[in-house]
Amino acid sequence: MNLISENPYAYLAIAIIMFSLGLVTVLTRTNILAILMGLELMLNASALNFITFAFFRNSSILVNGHIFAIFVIILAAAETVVAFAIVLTIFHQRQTVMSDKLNKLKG
Amino acid sequence: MKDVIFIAIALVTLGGALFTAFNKSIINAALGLLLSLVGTAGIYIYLSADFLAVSQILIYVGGVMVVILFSIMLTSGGGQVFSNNPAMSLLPAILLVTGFGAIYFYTTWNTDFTFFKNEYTPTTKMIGNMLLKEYIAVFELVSVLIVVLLVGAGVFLRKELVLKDSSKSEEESEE
Repeated sequence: MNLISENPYAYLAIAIIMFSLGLVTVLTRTNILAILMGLELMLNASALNFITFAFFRNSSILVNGHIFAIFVIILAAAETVVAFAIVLTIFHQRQTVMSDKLNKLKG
Repeated sequence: MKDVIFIAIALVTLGGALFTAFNKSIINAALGLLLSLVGTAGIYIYLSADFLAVSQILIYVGGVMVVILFSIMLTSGGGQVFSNNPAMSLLPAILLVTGFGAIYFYTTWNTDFTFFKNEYTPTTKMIGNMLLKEYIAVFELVSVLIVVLLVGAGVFLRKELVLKDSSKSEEESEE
């Protein structure tokens, strides 16, 4: 536990800071694509947490956490593709990607 | 040496995340996200996740980032400065998230984890075995999800939808 790279708390701290920055991005931006980027950061931080605990766990099966991280990556990619299609459709219809301008349902 | 490279990778990762959160230009924010994702792949190598590091670069950097950059180019354009949220400006958001992060740090530091030092091993074979034995149901569900995803993206970007709406807007402008 002398090296920083062998201390699990270093990895957990990176994941926490990355998640918090993603949360700031989601909270403060109005551009849908920027909100999407914040979501990617948060998903990435959670996958990093899974892999940290997979590596520093006393178990004969090392890769249980890796499977979760793989599914997180797959779902993030799927979400991005659908969001891309939705954003392009919205842009064709409303000529904006700012979420505060998309208030058609307000009446 | 191991530590120096680790700290460099961590700084790159967090610097990219900072760029994503606070840079005014959306293209710079996207490039910061790219940096952050590549740095995360480097951190995965330190955690003996070689397969995941490579698939992170393949999927995120090769796929997701290209899609995000494309959608930025096709919608808002590169030069546009994007405004802050009127419902949540920067300072309250930072205070809120700092509080959240402090709680998270506090609970993590005060929980009594029993950590164990594993050896570095190649993981690809183990992941393949696990995916086709214990997690086969999830694996199949994800393949169904991806088929649905392809159909859904196709439906959204269908040509008739765009044409119908453009003709409708023409009618509205004629009225």
